[in-house]
Amino acid sequence: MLVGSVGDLGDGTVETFEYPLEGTRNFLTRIEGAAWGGVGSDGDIVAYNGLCTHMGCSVEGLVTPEQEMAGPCSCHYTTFDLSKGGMVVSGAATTDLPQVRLEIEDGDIYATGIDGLVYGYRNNLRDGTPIEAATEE
Amino acid sequence: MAADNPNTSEVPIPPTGAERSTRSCRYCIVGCGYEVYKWPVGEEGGPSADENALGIDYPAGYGEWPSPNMHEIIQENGQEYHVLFKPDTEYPVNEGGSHSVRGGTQAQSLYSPNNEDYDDRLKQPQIRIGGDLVTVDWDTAIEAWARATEIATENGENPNGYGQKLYFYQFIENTFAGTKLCHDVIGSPNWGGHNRPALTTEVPGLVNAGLAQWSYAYEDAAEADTIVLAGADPKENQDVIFSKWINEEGDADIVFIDPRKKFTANYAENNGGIHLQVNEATDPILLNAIARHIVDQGWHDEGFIEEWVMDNRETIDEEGWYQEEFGLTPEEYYDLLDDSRYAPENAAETTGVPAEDIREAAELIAQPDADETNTLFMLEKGLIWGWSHENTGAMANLTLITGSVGRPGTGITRAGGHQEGFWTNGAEGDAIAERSTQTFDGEKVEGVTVPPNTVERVRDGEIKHWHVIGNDPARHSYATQDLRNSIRERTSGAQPQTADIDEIERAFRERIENGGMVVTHQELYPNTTTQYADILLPAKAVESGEGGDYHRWNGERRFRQYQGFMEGPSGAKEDWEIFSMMGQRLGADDMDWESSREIFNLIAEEYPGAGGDHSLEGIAPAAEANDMTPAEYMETVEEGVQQPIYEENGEVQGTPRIHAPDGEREVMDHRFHTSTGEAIFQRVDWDRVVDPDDGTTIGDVYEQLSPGEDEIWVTNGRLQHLWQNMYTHQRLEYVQKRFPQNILQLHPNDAADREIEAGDLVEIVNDDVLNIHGENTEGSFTAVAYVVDEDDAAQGQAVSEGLAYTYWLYPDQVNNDVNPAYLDPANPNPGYKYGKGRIRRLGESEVKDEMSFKPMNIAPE
Ligand code: FES
Repeated sequence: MLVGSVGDLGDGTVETFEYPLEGTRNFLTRIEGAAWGGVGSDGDIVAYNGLCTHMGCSVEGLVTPEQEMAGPCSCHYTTFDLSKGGMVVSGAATTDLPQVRLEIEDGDIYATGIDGLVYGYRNNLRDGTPIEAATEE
Repeated sequence: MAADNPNTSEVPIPPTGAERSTRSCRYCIVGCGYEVYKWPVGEEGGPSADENALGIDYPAGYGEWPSPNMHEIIQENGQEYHVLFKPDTEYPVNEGGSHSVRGGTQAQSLYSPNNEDYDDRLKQPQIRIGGDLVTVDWDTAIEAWARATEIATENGENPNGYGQKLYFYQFIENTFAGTKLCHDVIGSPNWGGHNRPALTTEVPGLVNAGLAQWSYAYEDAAEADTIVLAGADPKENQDVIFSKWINEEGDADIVFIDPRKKFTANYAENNGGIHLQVNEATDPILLNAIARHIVDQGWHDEGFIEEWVMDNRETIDEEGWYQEEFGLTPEEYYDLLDDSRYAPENAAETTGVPAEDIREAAELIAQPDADETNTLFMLEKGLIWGWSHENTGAMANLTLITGSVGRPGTGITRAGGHQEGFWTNGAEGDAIAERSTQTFDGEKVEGVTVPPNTVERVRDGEIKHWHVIGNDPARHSYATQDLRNSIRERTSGAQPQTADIDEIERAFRERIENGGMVVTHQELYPNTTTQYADILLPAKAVESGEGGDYHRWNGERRFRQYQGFMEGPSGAKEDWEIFSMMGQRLGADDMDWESSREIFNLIAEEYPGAGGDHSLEGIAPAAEANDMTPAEYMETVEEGVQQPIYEENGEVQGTPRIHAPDGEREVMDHRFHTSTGEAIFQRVDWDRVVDPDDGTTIGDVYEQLSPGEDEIWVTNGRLQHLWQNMYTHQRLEYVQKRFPQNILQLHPNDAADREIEAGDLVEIVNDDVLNIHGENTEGSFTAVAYVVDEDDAAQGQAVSEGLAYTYWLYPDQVNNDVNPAYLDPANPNPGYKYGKGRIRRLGESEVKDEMSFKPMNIAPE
């Protein structure tokens, strides 16, 4: 699914998109250095689900691309390392922040899946309505 | 765009018929409630509330979600079961589903034969024969244990030859059985707990002041106006106390006393409180300086002191030897504070805390403008494992001068560690009084018998059969590199060559008669001590739900039942059963218990600890009124009940807090635990003489402990993810990934001086490990350097120059090897926190690219 374009993603930008179900909100950003699973020429473009895996508060507005972190979550202050697959730096979350798999084609950024279970779900693709692929592919 | 779908991760939903049981977490003192659902693989519930046992609609909402790490598949009798181990959203401690990373991942710690990480779980008894551990049957193993005990104690003539190193952290059924074996059946005084070498209190300055160490209710943290956190960090080791009771429900200003500028330090500073970044090992001076300023300003509660603090010197002397030595009248206490050392400006020099910060903290604590002071004092290992009398006494004194105790929003409490389940039949008193070979000489008292330091008795040969249960003293003690040398030497003598019991006896006898020692190790997984074990006994992990039902309490003395729900390895036994076999073999006729419930019923009926802080005396009468056994009755007390427990109208009644003022129920007949019911100020004196032979003072020891040229302080403590010696976490992928090796937090300047960068493997060497019992020794360990660049340290460096910090008990990278053999002579608790060493780079670690080295101290602004 098309989620953004490399050209629009400047330093410090944080964009959001829904995927793979309606209402499953993720963020797309370009961090300071190369990341695990990062795409783009510097491997610094990443996307993660926006719900903290501790108890489900949103960390979407708490992304600091220059620090390569999300958080501290406003509920219990978990922080996630966006350069290392959403690993918990400190805090009580019991899984990493789910990382959205990305691919780039002709400067467009596509989501191709999610590593890790999104908060609230038993399966990322069940109990909701799939987002229609917003591209000609 | 079509692509492979990597969304393979799935957590099954428990069907409505899933078996449900409840318990508290296996780990920390907070004691959050958990519920366990178990159902056969192949069955599954549906996503709407009426189709599943959780009663929730998917996707799950705030706090409801069973995460992948709350699920495990176990196997019993050839059948696979799903287990969902999730926070109990109804339990009063963590209502709403709060949990820590440890509690929230405990499903992953359940024994599962399918999980190769657990392959080394001990499953059969073993005996070391010809150098290697060999599987034997239980009868042979117990007989070998008994013969080793008979040889070590000369058939009971000299009970001190048997030493036991048991846990405080386990359930009352198991500690009761273990201590009965040691003190009652064998009669030995040589008993050590899992974390300290003697049967001593961790907080001598508190309990000898007449205060209880667990006196508050969690709601006090929500109601306090100020919370003092000294050597204690609930964010790190009591997540739910911090996140729910202090942060979510509460609004207190925090006075955070810690050498590190960690998350809670920044949280305090950003939220109206203050961080006192105290120099390592100088807390008594800082705490006295705060007290002095309170008294100087007249902010102390004279009315309370007049009524509730003992002021007669003779009465104090008659209270007991400890009070005679360390108790002070208010006048004596004020005189002591008058020492110029404790003037804020002078204290600032030694402690590194600016004088104005000392004054500000004093004001936050005393709340001079309020009608009543509502300050809650919380302390833990940062004070306990140091100058344990001075640090804990100073906190008791602050509590007493402010009169902030016994009311909602006040009090003093420990703030960490494991849940508590230490219970005895009382036989330890006589065993210690009659047979301890350790005495204390103070400045006023002489030749007082104190509980023996068992680690020294392993070194000096008094203990000849060391029975270690559920802990790893070869790593958990102080100056452990040297201790391991002693253990290795003492266990290296004659060894059995066959499993024939007479051959085993011959070898043990020969070894012991030549000054050696036999080690029995009763455990879940092998650890460092296992390397020296002659007899290895596999235990059930009852704290994770294997075996029967058990009882223990949490940090607000909430006592509850933990219901067993799985078998565990079939060759392992519950600890009480092992103790029962041993006791009966040695002739005890009152240990033929059939189940953990039977022991609980015995405790509730005959040893309820009536009158004490942890009294269970209401349980048996309430059970009888309901025509149930005590264990059956506790099954119905779903929210637990706070000790001391009374009976009223046929049901149990709890006690929210100890030290309540007049008119409320008094514990131990008095508001404070002394003969008159008045509390006692404690002498906290940097000039206290700790060695009367040569006049050495605390201040002198501090000089000896302080880093020399090229050395820095190397202190230790917790990391949120890790529990104790990581016996589960070293086997748990999610946690291992965060900390695949021990870390050493270093200031970037200290790192640069040594050409160290984040991810390098470093060695910490202390070639001058203080030993108050003899020659200083050496020790070393390795760790991965955790260095945060100045650019990334958005809220400052966690460690200042000259201080390094490491996890306290990482397997095989244990910093106790460099920690001093300094123990308070009056109450032999070790100063584990006061390590030092030279740091050098070994090379790049294997995990440099795998670990995150981001700052862990970013707090909300
Ligand atoms: S919901 Fe984010 S830390 Fe708890």
